Amino acid sequence: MVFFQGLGLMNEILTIKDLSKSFGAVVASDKVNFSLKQGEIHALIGPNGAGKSTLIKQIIGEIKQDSGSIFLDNLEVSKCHVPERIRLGLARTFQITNVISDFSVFQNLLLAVIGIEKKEFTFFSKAENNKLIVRKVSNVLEETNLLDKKDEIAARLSHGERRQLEIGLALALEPKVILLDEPMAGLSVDIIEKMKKSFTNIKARVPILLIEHDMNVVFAIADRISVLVNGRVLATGTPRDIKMNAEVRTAYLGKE
Amino acid sequence: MIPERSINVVCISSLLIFSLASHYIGEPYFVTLATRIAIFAMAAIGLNLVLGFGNLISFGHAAFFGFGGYVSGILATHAFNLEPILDWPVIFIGTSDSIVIWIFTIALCSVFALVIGFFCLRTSGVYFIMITLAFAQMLYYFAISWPSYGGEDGLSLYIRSSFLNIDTMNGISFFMICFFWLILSLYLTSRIIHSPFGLALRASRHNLDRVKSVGITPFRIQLVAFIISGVITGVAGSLYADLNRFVSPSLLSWQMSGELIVFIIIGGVGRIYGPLIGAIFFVTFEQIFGSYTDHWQVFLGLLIIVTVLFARGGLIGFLSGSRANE
Ligand SMILES: Nc1ncnc2c1ncn2[C@@H]1O[C@H](COP(=O)(O)OP(=O)(O)OP(=O)(O)O)[C@@H](O)[C@H]1O
Ligand SMILES: [Mg+2]
Repeated sequence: MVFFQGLGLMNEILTIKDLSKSFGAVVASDKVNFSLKQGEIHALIGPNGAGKSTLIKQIIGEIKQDSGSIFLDNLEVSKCHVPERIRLGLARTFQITNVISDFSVFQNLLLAVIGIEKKEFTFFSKAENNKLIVRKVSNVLEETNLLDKKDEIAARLSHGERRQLEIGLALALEPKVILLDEPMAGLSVDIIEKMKKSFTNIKARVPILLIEHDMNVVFAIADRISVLVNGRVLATGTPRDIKMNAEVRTAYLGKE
Repeated sequence: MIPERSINVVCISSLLIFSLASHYIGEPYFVTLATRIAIFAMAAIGLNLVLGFGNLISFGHAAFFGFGGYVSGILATHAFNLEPILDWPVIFIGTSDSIVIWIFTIALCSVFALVIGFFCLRTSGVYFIMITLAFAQMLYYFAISWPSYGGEDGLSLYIRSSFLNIDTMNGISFFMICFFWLILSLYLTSRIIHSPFGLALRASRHNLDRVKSVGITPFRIQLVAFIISGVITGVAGSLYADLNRFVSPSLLSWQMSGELIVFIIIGGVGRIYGPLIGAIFFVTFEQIFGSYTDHWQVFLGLLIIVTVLFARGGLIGFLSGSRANE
């Protein structure tokens, strides 16, 4: 592992340097530079196929970058496997909900806490009997409003509840950063309002990289916004800067 | 609908009562039959850990069954003939002490399962089925072509290995030893399934990405499960060699692997007692229909088709009307 010794990166928890990735002729990431600072929501916007999900997949380690590097808390993680990166403090949600569908809500969260507590090689005791683990699961159930759905099988949850569980699974890992891939897609207006509030609560603890298509949401809660088009970061700045940016308007916002 | 727990209790106690009753009315044949059920059930319980709970369809578990059988057969033969297996660095002439044989079986099966699992678990789905089968077939042909231990004809043992002061040649005593192993493997599986390890194993059956995304490496979970599984099936094989006082390459055959899978499917995939119920059913079925016709397997085939089409949870699922895996 190499320690990244940059200047002025003191409160950057996640730093991406010149990340590139192509799928054949499709350039999904084109020398992407990106950072996530303590206490912020950094939204990543851009048209379909811009390379947003691919960026998250590279950060988490699911897809290997062609070149460039990723630092978490000044530690290079670009060569680690997915589970290692998770244990170093990265957490993500999937664009398409991905929970263990034949587990209950409780069991799903239990799995996450077991994973992050490195208890997966415990063979004889029930996880339900471990007070620390159960307390952590209960905290997440409460935070994500899933307490009364605790014993429901995940497959039987509503779409909104499953998205909540997806976020709960990330929170259960007590990560250093959270990467959310369109967490609000397809949700009703009142759930979106609740989520907006909960994200602003979460960001005080854990900075959030948020991919989101709904511009009202983005401009309401993001502290910074990056615009990705054809794998390239067109601009990064405050919501105000982005709204003013002429290039962004023609390339992306103008189409809305 | 009958609660699953009651079905389990009825099955395990009827096996015990059946063998005790057979003993007291002087029918040693039926005691042997009950012992066979216990051993087959244990072998399939081992397989069920990976197949039922981890969705790893191993079509090569006969390799462990036969390997366990040969380990104990070879140890016992050397001890009986007083021919050393090793003469350097220590002289080791084998053993006929069950406890030592079991320790050897467990140790060697772990290593064997570690090696096989290490390669096979790099694949999944139909490739996993094929590569586990290929490993087992390799061992099968090796056993056939290795003349020292009987080759194709198999290896006869003169006497069962000894266990404490118990007369193991007495059918009911040997049954009780096997029954004890059966209970132990049921107990271990149920503890493991409900442990954090079991949760991770069950999670990795369909959703590797989710398991990785909570920091767990599925490969390690699956490999450890494969080792535990191979050891349980291997010990069953060791008992089977002792029961028959005979081991042959047929223990390693793909038909044997297939039968283990059949026990699980009939009883109920992913249910701790499924293999036991499957083995009881299979052996009973074979006894009853086998006495009328040599083609009894045709009926068995029909039964499997009906089970798979109409009772996905196997007999337990059918009787209890419940979902698997709880
Ligand atoms: N595994 C892959 N193999 C080949 N091409 C891929 C792969 N994954 C993504 N792509 C391509 O890379 C480009 C970026 O895809 P990506 O999913 O990152 O877009 P996105 O910004 O998340 O889009 P959306 O808003 O629709 O989710 C697209 O052109 C896509 O077709
Ligand atoms: Mg996407």
